[in-house]
Amino acid sequence: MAKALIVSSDSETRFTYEKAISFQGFLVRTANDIKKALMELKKQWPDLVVIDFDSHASEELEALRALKPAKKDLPVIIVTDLKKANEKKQACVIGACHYLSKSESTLGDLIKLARKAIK
Amino acid sequence: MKAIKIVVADDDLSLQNLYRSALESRGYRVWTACDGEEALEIIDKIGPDLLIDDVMMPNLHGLHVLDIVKGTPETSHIKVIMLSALDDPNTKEKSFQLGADDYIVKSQSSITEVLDRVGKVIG
Repeated sequence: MAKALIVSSDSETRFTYEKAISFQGFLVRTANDIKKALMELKKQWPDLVVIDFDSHASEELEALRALKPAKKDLPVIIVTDLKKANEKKQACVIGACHYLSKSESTLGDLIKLARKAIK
Repeated sequence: MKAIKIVVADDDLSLQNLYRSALESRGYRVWTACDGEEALEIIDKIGPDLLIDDVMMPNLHGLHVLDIVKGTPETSHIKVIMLSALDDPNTKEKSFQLGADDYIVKSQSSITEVLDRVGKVIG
């Protein structure tokens, strides 16, 4: 069974993404911030990471940068409304990144990307 | 003939029971769920033909349930009728964008009308 880690500081978003991704057959773990996500990653590498990213998380995301060489191909989906390219780049600190616009995408888009990412 | 399987997801228990009795009287097999999370669990387990999905539900909004069901290849064929307490054009439009097959405003539809709409959607 494929494993996914979902990171969001918003409990409702975290729950909704968890349900959408677990409905696809993933075994899902969640973290409410990047520090907790880092601890989860150290316990066991997932096959997919979904990060609900807002600008406040940028400093914490720096902590993940150290892991990049260890898992270059890890698919990471960033769900964000950040418009600037450099902020998006900052959000993508590990793995192979995919972006979804939070306001313009549906859960169906997230599902499609998640399934494609682990193929 | 194989009975049509219907999941009714609504946190209003009296409405749930009303729909269950009416649908069963027409020969449908009915499962009920009190929230969106339970609805997904039942859908995953039984693979229904139709979901009657209340918009405002605890533990996963009805629109999220619709989005997940229609966005998942294994369940995207399931017909979905959205139920709403409010005649809100934005919610109605969003429902159809996400793939809903019909949209019923509770206060404007009698149980007979709901049964007719179910019959039309199932075909």
